[in-house]
Amino acid sequence: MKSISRVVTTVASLALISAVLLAQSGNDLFQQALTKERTEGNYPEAIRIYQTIVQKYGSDHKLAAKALFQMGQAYEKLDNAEARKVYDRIVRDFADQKNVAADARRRLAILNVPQGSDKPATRLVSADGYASMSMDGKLSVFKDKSGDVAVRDEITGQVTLLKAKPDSSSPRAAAETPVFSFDTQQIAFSWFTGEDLTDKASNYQLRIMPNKIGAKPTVLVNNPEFIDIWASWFPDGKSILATVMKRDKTWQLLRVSTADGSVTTIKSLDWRLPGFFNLPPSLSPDGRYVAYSAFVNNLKGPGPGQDRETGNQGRHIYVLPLDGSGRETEVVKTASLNIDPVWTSDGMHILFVSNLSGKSDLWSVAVRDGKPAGPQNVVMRDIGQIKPIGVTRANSFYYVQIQDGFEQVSIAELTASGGSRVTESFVGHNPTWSPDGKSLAYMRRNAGNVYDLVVRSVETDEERIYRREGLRDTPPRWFHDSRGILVDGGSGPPKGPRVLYLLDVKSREFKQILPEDSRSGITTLSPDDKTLYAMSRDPRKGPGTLDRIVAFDLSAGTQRQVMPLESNGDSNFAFDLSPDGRMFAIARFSKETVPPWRASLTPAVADAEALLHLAVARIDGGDYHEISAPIQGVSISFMQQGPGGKLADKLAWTKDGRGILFATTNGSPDWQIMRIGIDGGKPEYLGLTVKALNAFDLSPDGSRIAFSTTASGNSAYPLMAIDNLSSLLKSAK
Amino acid sequence: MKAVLVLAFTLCLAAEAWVPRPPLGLDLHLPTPAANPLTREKVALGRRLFFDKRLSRGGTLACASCHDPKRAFSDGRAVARGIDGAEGTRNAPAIINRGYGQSFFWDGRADSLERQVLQPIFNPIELGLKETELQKRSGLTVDTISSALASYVRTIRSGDSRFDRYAAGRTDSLNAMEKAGLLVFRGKGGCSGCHIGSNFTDERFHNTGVAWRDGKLVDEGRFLVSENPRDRGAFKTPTLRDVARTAPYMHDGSLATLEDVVEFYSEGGHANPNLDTRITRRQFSPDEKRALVAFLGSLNGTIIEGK
Repeated sequence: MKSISRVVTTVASLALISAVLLAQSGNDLFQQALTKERTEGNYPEAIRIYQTIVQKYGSDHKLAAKALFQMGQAYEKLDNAEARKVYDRIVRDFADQKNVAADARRRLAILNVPQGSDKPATRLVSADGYASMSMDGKLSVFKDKSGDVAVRDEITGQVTLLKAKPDSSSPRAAAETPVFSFDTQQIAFSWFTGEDLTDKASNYQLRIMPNKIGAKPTVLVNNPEFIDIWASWFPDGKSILATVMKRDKTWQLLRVSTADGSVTTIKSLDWRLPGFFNLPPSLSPDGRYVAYSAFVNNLKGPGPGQDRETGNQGRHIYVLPLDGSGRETEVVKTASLNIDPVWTSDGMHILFVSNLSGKSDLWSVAVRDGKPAGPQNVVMRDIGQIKPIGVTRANSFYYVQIQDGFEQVSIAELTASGGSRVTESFVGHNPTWSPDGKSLAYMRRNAGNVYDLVVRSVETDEERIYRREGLRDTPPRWFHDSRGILVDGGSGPPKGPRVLYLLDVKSREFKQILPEDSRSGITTLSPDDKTLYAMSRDPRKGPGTLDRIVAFDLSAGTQRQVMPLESNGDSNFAFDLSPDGRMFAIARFSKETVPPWRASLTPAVADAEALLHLAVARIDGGDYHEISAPIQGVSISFMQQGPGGKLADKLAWTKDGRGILFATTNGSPDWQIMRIGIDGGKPEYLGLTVKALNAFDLSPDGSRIAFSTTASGNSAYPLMAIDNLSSLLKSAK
Repeated sequence: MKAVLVLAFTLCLAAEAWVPRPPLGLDLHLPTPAANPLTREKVALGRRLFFDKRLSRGGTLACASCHDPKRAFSDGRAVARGIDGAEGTRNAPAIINRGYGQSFFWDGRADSLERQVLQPIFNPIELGLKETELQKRSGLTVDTISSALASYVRTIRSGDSRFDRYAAGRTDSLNAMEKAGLLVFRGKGGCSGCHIGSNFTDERFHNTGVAWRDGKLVDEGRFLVSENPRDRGAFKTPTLRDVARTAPYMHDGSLATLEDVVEFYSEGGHANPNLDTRITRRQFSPDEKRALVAFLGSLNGTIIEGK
C-alpha cells in the first residue's frame, strides 16, 4: 500500500513538475513573441510564435486565448484579414476567458463593418477629446494634460507619453495639436513656448520628432511672429503644410522642409480665416491640394463680429493647388457657414460642415483635379456641433463632438476580487439592461433636448436606433420578455407632464399607453409587466417636489397612490422594485440633520454632514424601515448642482433580492458604487468609482454594471468615428 | 520687330505654365486666370511691350515711363503725365506685387490685370493709342498684348525686405527704432487695420479725407465705379512695399514725404461726411512718428521682374 502510495505521489509530482515546466516554457514563448511584436515590430515572427503557443499549449486556455488575441493584433498591424478569423476563434472556442473574449468581440465589431455595407456606425473612440489619427486608424496622437505628446494604441487603449516636453520647460509650455506623418514614424506638433502670447517672448514653434519615447524633437520653425501653428504632413514626409497665425492675426499657409526648416509661403489668407480655435486647412491625400474654409473678402479686422459690411455671405470652401499654379477654386459657395473641410482618403470628396439647412449638417462635395465635380450633398443631417479631424484609409471619419453635458454609457465588469474593469463605452444616457442580459436600452441625445432610444447588443455592439418626436431622456424600462420597452415622451418642457410609450422592439412601433400626467421619469416595472411604479407629486400642486410613489395599471390606464414619501426635493429620491416584485428599496437624502446655523457657514459643511437614508418597504407602503444607520458623507449641494447630481436612478436590487446597490459621494465628482444587505450591515464598496455618475443598472446575472456619466467643459469633447463612410457618401443626397 | 513679336506670340501658345519662385515674404501662389496661365515666353513678350514706346501715339512714352523700375515702378510725380505733357488727376501707383491684387487703379475700376493694362494705352491723355493702331504697330491682337503685359506685370515683385527677414524669424533684421515703429503700426497707429498681409494692403477702399478740399470732394474715387454713396471719396489701400522709394504719396500725390503721411494720420485725416470710422486722431509722439517712418523704410525690398 505504501509503495502504491509512493508511486502515485511520484507520478503526481512528475505531472506537477511537467505542468510547471510546460507553463513556464509556454509563458517564455509568449514573452518572446511579445518582444518580437512590440519591441522589434517583427509581426510575422511574432505570429509564428503565437501559433506555436496555441498548437503546443492549447489546453492552457488562458495562455492560448492571450496568444490568439496578440496574434490577432499582429495580423491587424499587417492589415491582414486573418485577424478577424483569429478573433472569431477566441469568441467561439475561448468563451471561458471572459476578458479576452470581450476584447475580441470589440475588435470584431470594428473589423466586421464591411466595406460598402449599408450600415455606417457611429462609435465613441475616446472621451479624452481632440486627437489626430494615423492613416490606418490604429493610433491616435494628442496633447496630454501635462503638455506632452501622447500616443494611444486604439486597439489596446494603451497610452504612451513620448517625453516631448523637456523638464526644464515652462509649466505652461505644451505640445499642441500633434499629427502623425503618413507612415506614423514621425510626429509634428506646434510647441507653445510657454508664458502668455501677449508677452512677445512667447510664441509657437513648429517641431517634429520620431514616434519614439524620449526621442529629441527638432525645432523646424521658431518665429516670434507666429502665435498659432497647425501642421499637416505631406505624403512623402519631406515637408509640412503649416497654417500659421501671425501677431497681426493674419493667416498664412507655409510649406516647411523637414530637412532644414526652410519655409515657402504658399498663400497669405490675411483675415479671411476667423480667429483662434478653428481647424486648419486640410491637405489632400496626394499632397497636391489644400482645402480650407474662408471668407470671400477680408474681414474688417481680426476676430469675431468683423464680417459686417465686407460683402461676405457666409464662408466658402476653397481648394488651392499647392504648386502655386492657378487660382483658389470655390468648391462650395452657398451663402451659409461652410466650415472645417477634410478630404476623404481617396481624395475624391471633401467633407465639410454647413448650416445651410438651419442646422449643423455634414456635407460632401466631389472634387477632381481641384475642381468641384458634382453638387454638394448632405451626408448626415443634424450631426450637431462637430470638429472634423480626418478620414482614415479604413474609411472611418473621425471628429470631435462639441457639446456641453456630453453623455456616455460604460459597462464595467465586477471582478471576483472586489474590483471592476470598464470594458467598453459609447454615447448615451440612462442605460437599462434587458431581462435576458443581451442588450442595453438607453437614450441618446439627438439634438438639443431631443432624444432617441437606442438598443445595443452587448454581444455584437450593433445599435438599433428608435426615433419618435418628443422622447425624454429618462431611463427606459424593459418588459420582462425583452420584446417591449417603456419610454417617456412629452411635448412640454423637460420637467413638464409626460406620456408613456410602449415600443415594440421588433416592429419598431411606438404605442402610447398612458396619458399625460405629472409623474417623474423614475419608474420600475412589476415582474408581470402589468404595473408601473413611479415617483410622483400632488397634481393639485403643479410642478414641485416629489412626494409619493404611485402605481399605474398599464392595461386600464389608471393610477393609485401606494405610499407617501417624506418630501425633500426632486433630486433626492431613488427607488427600485425587488426582483420578486414585493418590496421597494428607497434612497432618500436628508439635510435637516445639518443644523441650520452650521449649514449656513459653508456649503462644504452641509455637504459633509448630509445623510443618506436607505430603507425598504412593502409595495403597499407598509413595513417601511431603514436598513442601516444614515450614511454620512453625502453631498447635498453637489447633488443638486454638480455633474450627475441627482440621486435619480442610482439604486438597484441585487439579483437574489438580498442586497441593494447604491451610489454615494462625499462632495467630489467621484461616486462610489456600494452594496448593502437588506438586513443591514456595513456597506461594501464594489470597487467601482465613477466620475459624474448619472445612473446605473446591474446586469441580470449580477456580473456587470452599466452606468452613464455626464461631463461638461472642454474635457467633455469626445472623439467619435463614423465607420464605413463610403456607404454614406453613396447615399448622400 | 513685328516679326519678332509674332514669333514670340507663337511661342507663347506652345509654352508650358510657369510658377516663378517668390522672393522672401511673398506667396508662392500667384493668382492667374485660367485663360491666361503664366509662361516664360508670354512674360518675355510682355516685358518687351512694357518698355516699347511704339505703344504711345507719338512714340514718346511707354508703360515704363510712368512705372519706372528705378523708382519702384512709379514715376516720382504727384500725378501721372501722359502724351504731349498732359497731366492726369491721380498719382501713378507703384505697380509692384500687383499680381496679388484683386482690383486695379485707385478706384478699382478694372477687375483683372488683363483689363487694367490696356486702359492707359487707350486713354487719350496717357498713351493715347487707338486699338487698330495698336494692332497694326505690334502685329498682335489686343488680347495677346493684354495677356502678355498682364503676365509681365505679375512678375514685378518686391520682397526680401529687412522686415521680411524679421518676419521669417531673423529678429536682428530690424533695429530698435524699426521694431518700435512696428509696434505703433500694429498698435496705436492702427495702420495694420488696412495695410495687412504679405502685401500690406487689404485691397479695399477707404475714405481718409485726402480728396476733401474746401468743404467738398474733389475726386469721388470709388463712387465713380460702384455708385455706392458710401464709397464717395474712397480710394484703394496701396501696398506699402518700397514705400520709401515711391514719393509723393496718396492717390493725388498731395503728400510729399512719409513724415507728411504720418502727420496726416496722426491728426486723423481730413474730416468729411464719409471718413472711414477707423481714421481717428492718433496724436503720435515725435518718437512714435520717427519710429513709424523708420519702420516703413524697412519695407524696401529687392524688386525682381520678368523672372
